Amino acid sequence: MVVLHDTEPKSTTVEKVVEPIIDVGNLLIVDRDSIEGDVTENLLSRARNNTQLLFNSIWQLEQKRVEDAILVDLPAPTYRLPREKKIPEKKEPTKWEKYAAEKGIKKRTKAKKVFDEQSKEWKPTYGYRRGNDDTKDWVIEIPDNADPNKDYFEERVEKKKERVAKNETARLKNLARQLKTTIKKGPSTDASIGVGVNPREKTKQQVRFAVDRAKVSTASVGKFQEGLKGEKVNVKSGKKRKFESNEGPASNEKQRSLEVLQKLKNKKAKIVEEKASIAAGGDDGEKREKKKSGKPARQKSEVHRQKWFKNKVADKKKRNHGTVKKGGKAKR
Amino acid sequence: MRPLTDEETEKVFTKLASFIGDNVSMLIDRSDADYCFRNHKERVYYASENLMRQAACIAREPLLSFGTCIGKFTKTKKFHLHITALDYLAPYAKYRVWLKPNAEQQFLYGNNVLKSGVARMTEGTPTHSGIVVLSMSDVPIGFGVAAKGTMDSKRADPTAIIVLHQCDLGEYLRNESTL
Amino acid sequence: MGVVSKKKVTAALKAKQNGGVKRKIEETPPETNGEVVKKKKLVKKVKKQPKNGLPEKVKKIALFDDDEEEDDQVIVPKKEQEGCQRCREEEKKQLEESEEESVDQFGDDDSDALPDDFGSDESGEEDLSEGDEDELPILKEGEEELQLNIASQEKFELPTIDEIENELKAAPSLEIVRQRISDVIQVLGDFKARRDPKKSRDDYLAVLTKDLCSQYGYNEYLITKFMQLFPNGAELLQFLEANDNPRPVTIRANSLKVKRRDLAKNLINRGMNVDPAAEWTKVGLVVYDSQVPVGATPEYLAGHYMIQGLNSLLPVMALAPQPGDRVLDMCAAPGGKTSHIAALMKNSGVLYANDFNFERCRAVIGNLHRLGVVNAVVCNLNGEEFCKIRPNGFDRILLDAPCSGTGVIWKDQSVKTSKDSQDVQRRHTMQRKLILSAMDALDANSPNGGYLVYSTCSVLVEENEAVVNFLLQRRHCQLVNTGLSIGVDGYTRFRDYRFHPSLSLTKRYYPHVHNIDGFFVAKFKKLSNAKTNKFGVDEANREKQEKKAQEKADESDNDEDGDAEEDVESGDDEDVEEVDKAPEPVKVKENEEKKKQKKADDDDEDDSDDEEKVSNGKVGSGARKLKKKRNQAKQKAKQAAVAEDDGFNSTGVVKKVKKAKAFKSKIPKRALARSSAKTVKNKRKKLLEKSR
Repeated sequence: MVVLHDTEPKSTTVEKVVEPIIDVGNLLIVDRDSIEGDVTENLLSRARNNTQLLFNSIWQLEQKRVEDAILVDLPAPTYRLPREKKIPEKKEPTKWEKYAAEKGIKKRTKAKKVFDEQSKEWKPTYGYRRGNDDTKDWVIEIPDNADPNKDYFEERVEKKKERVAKNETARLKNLARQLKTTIKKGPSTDASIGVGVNPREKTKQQVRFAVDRAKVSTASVGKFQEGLKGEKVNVKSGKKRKFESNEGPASNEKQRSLEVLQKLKNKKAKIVEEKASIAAGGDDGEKREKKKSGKPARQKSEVHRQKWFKNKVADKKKRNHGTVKKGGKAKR
Repeated sequence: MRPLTDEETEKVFTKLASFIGDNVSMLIDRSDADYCFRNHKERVYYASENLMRQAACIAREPLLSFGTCIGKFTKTKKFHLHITALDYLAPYAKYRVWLKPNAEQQFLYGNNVLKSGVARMTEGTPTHSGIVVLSMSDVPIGFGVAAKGTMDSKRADPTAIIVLHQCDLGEYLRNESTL
Repeated sequence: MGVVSKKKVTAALKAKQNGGVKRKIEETPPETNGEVVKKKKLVKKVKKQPKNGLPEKVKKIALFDDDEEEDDQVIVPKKEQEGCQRCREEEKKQLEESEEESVDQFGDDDSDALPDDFGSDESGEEDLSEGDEDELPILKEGEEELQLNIASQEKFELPTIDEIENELKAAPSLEIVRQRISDVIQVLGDFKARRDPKKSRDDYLAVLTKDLCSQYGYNEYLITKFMQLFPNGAELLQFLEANDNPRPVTIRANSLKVKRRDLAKNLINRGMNVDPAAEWTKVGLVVYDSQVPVGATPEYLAGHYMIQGLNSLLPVMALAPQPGDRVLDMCAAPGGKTSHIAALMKNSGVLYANDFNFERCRAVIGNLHRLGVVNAVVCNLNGEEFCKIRPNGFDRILLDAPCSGTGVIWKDQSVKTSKDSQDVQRRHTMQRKLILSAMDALDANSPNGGYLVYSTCSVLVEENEAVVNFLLQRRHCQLVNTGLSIGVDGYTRFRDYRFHPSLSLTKRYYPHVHNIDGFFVAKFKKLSNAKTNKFGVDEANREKQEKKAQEKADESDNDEDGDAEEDVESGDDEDVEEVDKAPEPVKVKENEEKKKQKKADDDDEDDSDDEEKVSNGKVGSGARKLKKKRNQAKQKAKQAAVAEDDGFNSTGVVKKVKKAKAFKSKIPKRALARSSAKTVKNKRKKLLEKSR
């Protein structure tokens, strides 16, 4: 029997059948005793015992005292907690990485700075104002038997540009390989931009809309566009504004406008009543009270909370999507 | 040219009613002939039915005006009265204010009416109600909104604004191109 | 120097009578040139005198018209006005007579293109002076004496054109030019006696034209036109002077809102000096001076009045719109006349205010709203479209046609130089188009309407009488009395134009005579809705006679009936088409049946009906042949019309040069048709079949 409200302090020694895992760094204890019978039984006492165990091990740590407070330095956690985010997928190695792995080529890191011979300074290896920049040479020695009329400065700049461009294409190709894009044969990965959904993957409805839209996209807004045999007419035509006929009998119109006027009058009467009552001062106190008890404007934190809640609900829905659908079908 | 929709009618009537109150029905239900409101190029025209039918035989593009232009709908679909509506507002107006001759000129240049310029005012004018401005010789010269009611204006100091300017006859010269 | 002394004697004589003349004589000219010049100038002075006496007189009379009337109307003696009018009429008669005589009188002078306009005025002038003999007997005496003197004196020497051009180029002295103008006019006044025998009339006229151009700043074309319009030199000068002086500001009280009396009271309180403008108008007020801007008083803004010239009241008064009418103002901007019409209609009925210029239409809208007009429809159409939009849909139409503006030169001085013959010709064409359209839009069968008023603010005959005459020849209508009490009758003959005699019912207004802008008003009544022209009518009559003869030969009862009916019909309106098909004996009966059904149809309708009948009734009865025949007849009539036409507009038909075809296909039409895709296909089909 468990006595919940016991005034006597319990003993600090706890006995366990199986040694529990205690990770003080994480303030974690994993009870490894086997559970027999009902789980809820003795839950409280067990929890208390386990907590006692954890604190026992904490008390064994080296203590410091700072103005009435006892402090301990927790050791490094030993137990590895599960990861919050999923492990990133391993990228498919680039073409060069594959090749390098095949050939056993190791990556060599280059220093970030190089010593520039001309200015006698350390400069970045790559990029802006890099050291040993051969495109910035002010004089170039023309090699033997070379064409002296060629612009060697220009040549170097060109070569640099080409290297950059080549690298860029290689990068894009690798990217495409990694993304496993559907358009594999395209000359570039940019081809998908602005095209929209692949026609083969369009739903029936999407195709229908596309056809309708194409039909009215002529100079005459599709007026003279002949349909195919048995083709459906454009179902989704834009809604048109409809006005009363200009030439209709005047009496109708008069009637209509009088009705509108009557409506207006009624509305106005209400407002006047309210105003009058306020002016009379009858509801003055009530009004003030209302203002007091009325909720203040929504605060920012509140908004955030609401949003979070909303997202949570949405997530739940997503998770339950399949089952709900099934249920719906079953009902039907 | 087309009849007003219900929303439009409501807007027009609300605006008119702020000046002439229940007399709006006098405009709709006239004894001499059937009169109607029409929307043509976002402007509201008030004309007899006969005239409207005659005007309907002119194409939309070249037809510039018929009957009396009451006002226009702005791009945000608010209704603004024009000075041309004064002929219908003035005789039925619920609240009027008479200006001193020197203030008259000021008002005609598009300024608000100060208390110093007011000669007379209808008793019991509430604030924010439409009010027609007249000269001392009872000639209507424009209209606006009462910034202060009769009671308030009695207490106000001479430089206080009594009527907020909306339209005045000077617009015939100033804004001839947009009438 | 003897001459000079003589002159002084006469001057002394005259001094008692005419102070002004004396003063002029005693003025000594600035002695800038040598002695010779001085002498010449003195001679000139002497010669000027007789002229000075008479035109002064004329001027005085004319002045009564404008100035006196302005200052105080009550004081103006009516007699004198009437007298003036009478004189003018007499002068006119004289003019006409002299014009006829001119060939005999001055035939020996020289063969000039301008047929003696300037020669004719002297007789008129003399006539005038004789009429007033009792008033100025002494003046007359002095004049005669002077005339005698002149005869024995040396004559005014006319410089050549080159000299004048050089002079004008160098430094035109206003005094000298003015002197020469008066001298030349003097000479032209009695050309036979005063001319230099070596110089022709053309030379004199050329010099005068040049001088007037430089003096008043006109271009030569306009001056020539005005010289033709006012053969009397003095009148011409008066006209030109009047063109430079502004007319008084006049306003029209808006009878929709106020009475003129109340308005005048209000305006006087505002510090404006106003008076009723003229006897013939009940709404016009003239403003002498004003301490406030006339176009910005609260009364103006409240729509109590409209600023407009007195002349623009005239066409509306002539139109006389009635309440409930359907009225069209074809060229409405800026809306003065339109609002006047609305006021006369008491805001009832329908009033279309049209203007071609969109920007000016805005002014119309503003003014109409300001003046409280609620029965107006403002539209921005080309006037020519009204005959299509509403054929026969109006009771009254006012056409204040766009014109060269030669009547209102004081408002726009640029008219003086900007208008040339091509400009006027263009206006003339436009006006003819508009007036035709206006007439077609008019309803002849309306109970109290069918009136068209044509007005311009031009004084040129090409834009006024010529256009009116053109319409008379093109449509079945007649001129009616405008109902205006003032104004000069329009020309029935002017130089080489010979207009319809009824053109005397039109009215002309001149700035120097009536002190209002130069203006022209004509009022038509439409007689039938058919579109006939003069040649159509002529042709109709002739062919009808032919038909009669034929029918007599046939001697059929039916035919006679029809004939009688057609006679009645032709009384008031005839269709060209109806007559054209008359000579077809086959269809006579059908035609008659049809005619019983309907009368007075448009030609187009008629034509189509006709063809239908032919095709329905008798297929292969030579319908095509008949049609061809008919077309040939039509062509002939047209050619005859063109052949009769002698140019500008005296007959109303403009000669049309056939347009040369830009491209003429060398392949014959039939061959072209045969090589169409379908035929080619068929041919191939046939070939294939054959080969099988």
